[in-house]
Amino acid sequence: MNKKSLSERIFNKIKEKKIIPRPRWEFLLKNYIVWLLGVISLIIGSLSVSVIIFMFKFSDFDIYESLHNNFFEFLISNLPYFWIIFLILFIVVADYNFKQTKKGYKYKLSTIILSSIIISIFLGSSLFAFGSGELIDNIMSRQAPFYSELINRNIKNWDNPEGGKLIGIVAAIQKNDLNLLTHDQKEWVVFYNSNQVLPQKEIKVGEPIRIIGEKQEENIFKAKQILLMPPPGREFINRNRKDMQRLMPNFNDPEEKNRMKEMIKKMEKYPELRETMMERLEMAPLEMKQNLKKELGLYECLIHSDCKTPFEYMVRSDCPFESRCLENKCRVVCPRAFDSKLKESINKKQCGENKDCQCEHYKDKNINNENCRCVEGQCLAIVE
Amino acid sequence: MNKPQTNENFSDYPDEELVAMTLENQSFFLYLMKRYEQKLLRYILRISNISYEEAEDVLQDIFIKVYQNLNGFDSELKFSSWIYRIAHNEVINNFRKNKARAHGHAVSIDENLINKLVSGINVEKEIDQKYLQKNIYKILEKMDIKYREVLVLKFLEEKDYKEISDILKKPMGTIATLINRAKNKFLEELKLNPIK
Repeated sequence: MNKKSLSERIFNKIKEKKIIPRPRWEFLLKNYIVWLLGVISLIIGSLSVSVIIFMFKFSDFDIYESLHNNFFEFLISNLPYFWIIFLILFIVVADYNFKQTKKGYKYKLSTIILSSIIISIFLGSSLFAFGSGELIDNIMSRQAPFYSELINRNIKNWDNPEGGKLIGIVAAIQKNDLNLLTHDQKEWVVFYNSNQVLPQKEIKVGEPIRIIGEKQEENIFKAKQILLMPPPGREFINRNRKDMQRLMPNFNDPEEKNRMKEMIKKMEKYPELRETMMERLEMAPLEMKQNLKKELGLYECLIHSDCKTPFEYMVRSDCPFESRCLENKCRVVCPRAFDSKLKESINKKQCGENKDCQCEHYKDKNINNENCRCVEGQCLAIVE
Repeated sequence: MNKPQTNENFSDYPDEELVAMTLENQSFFLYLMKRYEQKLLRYILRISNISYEEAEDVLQDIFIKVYQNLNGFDSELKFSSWIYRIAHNEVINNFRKNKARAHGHAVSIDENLINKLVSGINVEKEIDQKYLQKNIYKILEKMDIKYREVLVLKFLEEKDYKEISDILKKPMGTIATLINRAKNKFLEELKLNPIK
């Protein structure tokens, strides 16, 4: 009997074990996933580049001599280490994925790394032009703990009166001094002269400014240089932007909400600033503006359920008093303030305009015509 | 599944065509295996220094992997490069699994290949060619597998740079550097273990 060759024995084993080729789609899928992960990594790397560019652009390179002893010190304190590490990490992931593609092995690692860096820089610059760098920086500052302290320290660096740096919004301008509101609600009087302003333009109320100078006393600062351009900043500091989407503070954060409310209170002292800020607020989309005004206490309410009926009205028996939100203010109303015959049709449309309503049946004679209104088809006596 | 019902001589068919035919009819795989059985067995023995029986087991795993992955064969590659790549991976896996092993037996190398190796590596002429032919594995086995493998592929399997690049999945420039370093290592080992 002929002994079977090795190939025949293996062939029989394949048949016996019913081994079959893996389907083609598995290989295609693996290939697509490898490419997809590579591309995603490259995009994330590019987004890091856009933040790096954003942080560098606003790193005060043009005035580094005023802020640092030398260029090296400026570089060390301004390098966006986190984003550089992030970029390196995703370049490594992208390169690993590219190496896993069918033809990836044909290229030297140095060629792949260099190409990834060039693509990331090119793509990152384009993304920066579309504002992604700033957007990511803003989101990170809100969501990531310690981001402002560790990663983009620019605002923290400027909020240092002892170190001769101050940042805030101009609240009022006098001849040789101005009032500055900082993001932590402190008010400063800053002495300056117009030669110290860079670029040489008029300072306006509501504008964010940075000041290099010297703290003289508590809340008194003497400027050596005033910089008008906005820093890479977030939250209140950045609020002079026309793009009102950026104005929306994070009201889920009670601290931020309180800070905003405090700021609005402070603005009572500075009518010009208040007016400027309100003008800017008016540019916001309606819903955002209403929410903002409500959250900031400028609007008492937006809908009826925002209002609660005061206890003293709830215990009164002369009317089923309710609270309604009328013109963004909570008002106590009596919906049965007219004819008792109409009790049955309370929920029906009763009126088209104010003159259709008569409140004389309401026993409180203080109700005048102005407080007897047709609201949403229903006559109401506004009690308080 | 039966053997193809034809008297055709499939030995003339290119590998790539046999791959396509295998995907239609399993039996054609036998032709591919027969074509590569001896080549791969020799390659395994040359680079891994394992026993003949063990090499057969490794070859079985290689052919099963080749069959399972036939749909993943990239037609832009030569089939021989692809199958050698799978063989290389399997040998490396086997090498990692069984680092401590008994020495296997050497495969004989014909004089012609030894001459190519000698001239390729610039071994001094006065070295006894017959002695080198007999003891070449003793030198190769002392070398790191990455150097041993490129020398085997280049001088004993007579693959060109492009094929070695496809088999080892490394850029051609890296292959050139590896071969150069491997040659130097070979000469160093030769000096340390004179076989004059």
